[in-house]
Amino acid sequence: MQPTRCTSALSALVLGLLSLAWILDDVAFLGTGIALLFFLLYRGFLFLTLAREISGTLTFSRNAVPLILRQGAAVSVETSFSVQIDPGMSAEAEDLPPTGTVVVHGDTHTGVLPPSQGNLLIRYRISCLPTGTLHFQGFVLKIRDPFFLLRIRCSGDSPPLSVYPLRSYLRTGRAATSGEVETEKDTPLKGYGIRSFRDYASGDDPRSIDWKLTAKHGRLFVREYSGMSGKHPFLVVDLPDSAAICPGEARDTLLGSALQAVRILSREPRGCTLMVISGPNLLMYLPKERTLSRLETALHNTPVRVVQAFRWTDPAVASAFRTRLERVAQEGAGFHASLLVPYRTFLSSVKPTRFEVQCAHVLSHAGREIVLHVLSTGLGDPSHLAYISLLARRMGIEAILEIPAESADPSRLKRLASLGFSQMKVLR
Amino acid sequence: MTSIRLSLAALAVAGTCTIAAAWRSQLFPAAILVSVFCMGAALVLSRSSRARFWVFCLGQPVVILAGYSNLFLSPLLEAGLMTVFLHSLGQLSSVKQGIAWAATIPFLVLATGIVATSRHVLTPLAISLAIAAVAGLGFFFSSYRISHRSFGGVDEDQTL
Repeated sequence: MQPTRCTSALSALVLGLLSLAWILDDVAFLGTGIALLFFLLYRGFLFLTLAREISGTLTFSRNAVPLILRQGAAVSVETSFSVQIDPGMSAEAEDLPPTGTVVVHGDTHTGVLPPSQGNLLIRYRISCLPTGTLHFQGFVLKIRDPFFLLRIRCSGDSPPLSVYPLRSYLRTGRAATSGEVETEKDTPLKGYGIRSFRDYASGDDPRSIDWKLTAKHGRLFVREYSGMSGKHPFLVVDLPDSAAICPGEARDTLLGSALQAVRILSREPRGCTLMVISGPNLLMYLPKERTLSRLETALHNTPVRVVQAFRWTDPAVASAFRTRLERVAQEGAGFHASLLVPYRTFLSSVKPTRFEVQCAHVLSHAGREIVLHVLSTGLGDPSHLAYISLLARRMGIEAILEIPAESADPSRLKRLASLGFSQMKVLR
Repeated sequence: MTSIRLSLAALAVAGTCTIAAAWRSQLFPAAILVSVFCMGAALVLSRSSRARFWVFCLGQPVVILAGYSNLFLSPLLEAGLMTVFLHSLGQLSSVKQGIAWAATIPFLVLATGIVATSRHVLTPLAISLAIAAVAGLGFFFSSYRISHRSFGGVDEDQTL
């Protein structure tokens, strides 16, 4: 409860009168001062009584559309208040949008509600700049009379907004997300790029004649277009561990790019094939999915990595290493002989992990005419990425690793390049 | 009659009563001087945005002066000025508020009357301040309950 300016001035007057009464020992001043003091107490008591009644009549509802949106998109919010205000009192309400959002249209304040006001509707639009789950902060009801002001902040109950990050996903490079890959081979489907030039032979399409080159050399040249092969993109999104530290920008870039990619791919005739992983944990596999909401829901995940991998080594590589160790260890005891003991003990009992089995099953199901686009932050141990890369190489599948620019420092790029992906891209 | 005119009229009545009460006493010139000054100042300030508040404040010297002439005139004039002040602010427009104020006036007049008849200031002053402190604490807790318990209210520092 806060005093208004009127009450503050009257309080100062009361203090002045009572001080004078005490200094002068004058009952006339005292009487007037005490009368004003009890007058203020009476008003305070009456205000609180009426404020309690008013707050009891308050009803509130909020409707926000849409609840799931991209970063920067606008949300229309409709908030309705219903309150019964006694004569002599006034109220003012303010809706509190989520932190970090910007009101782009309308006003979140109701203005001063006159007495006996029934329902009131506030309409405004907010632009959501932060990403993630955004909760409305509630609303504030200010009840006032000429003497006092009470500010009631209520939590309100309305569903939160889910804001996805917005990033671009460029369809560049040889393996774009359209599902078509330009090759240097001669294929029935012709691409847009020019592979080579050759002399004109009878029966060639006159439209493929390169007139500039013909004019330059004085004989007919035709263009040889690059071929198109129908390799379909297979998106693998490696979500960061929610229990580990991950820069927000890197996560937003990864998720925003992945969302943009699934939006593009879901419009393709074959749909989007998506595998969502988090470290060596397969979270979801959606083959040829065309429903965007399912794809978005699959990516709207904050996983905790149940299984963690650390310095994974391929059993074949480990066996080769053991053989080499055995050869070196024959020459004498020492470090190599000691290292050979755990290799001999454990290597025979190493079994494929569940993640390895799942990945092998998924990739064999997807076929060989695919291009793997692995989107990862690249943070933490890259064992699972190493395994995917190895599996892709074994199956003859092209695999491209794409990491956010925020986490693409030279040392990490060098480490990830050693995993064996055919290409590496930086997401911006 | 508009509220400001009613306030000015109430001040004029209070001033006249004070002058009448001081008739044939040493306070008579002072009563005339104070009443005329307050009326003049109230007339000057009557065009300001907070005229009703200023008129009410300007009535206080008149009420104090009335207390020197007659012990029971002061609380009556004060009650009258407060009633007009509340009316001018629209605080007596509902039956509930009217009844509440009507029930409060006797207590206010009685308390002021008792204080006015006391010989020394210290005891009634201390008692009044103690009552005000207790009431202030009560208001604090009551407002806390209203703003934090009703309708799912939360602490302002709490992050939702």
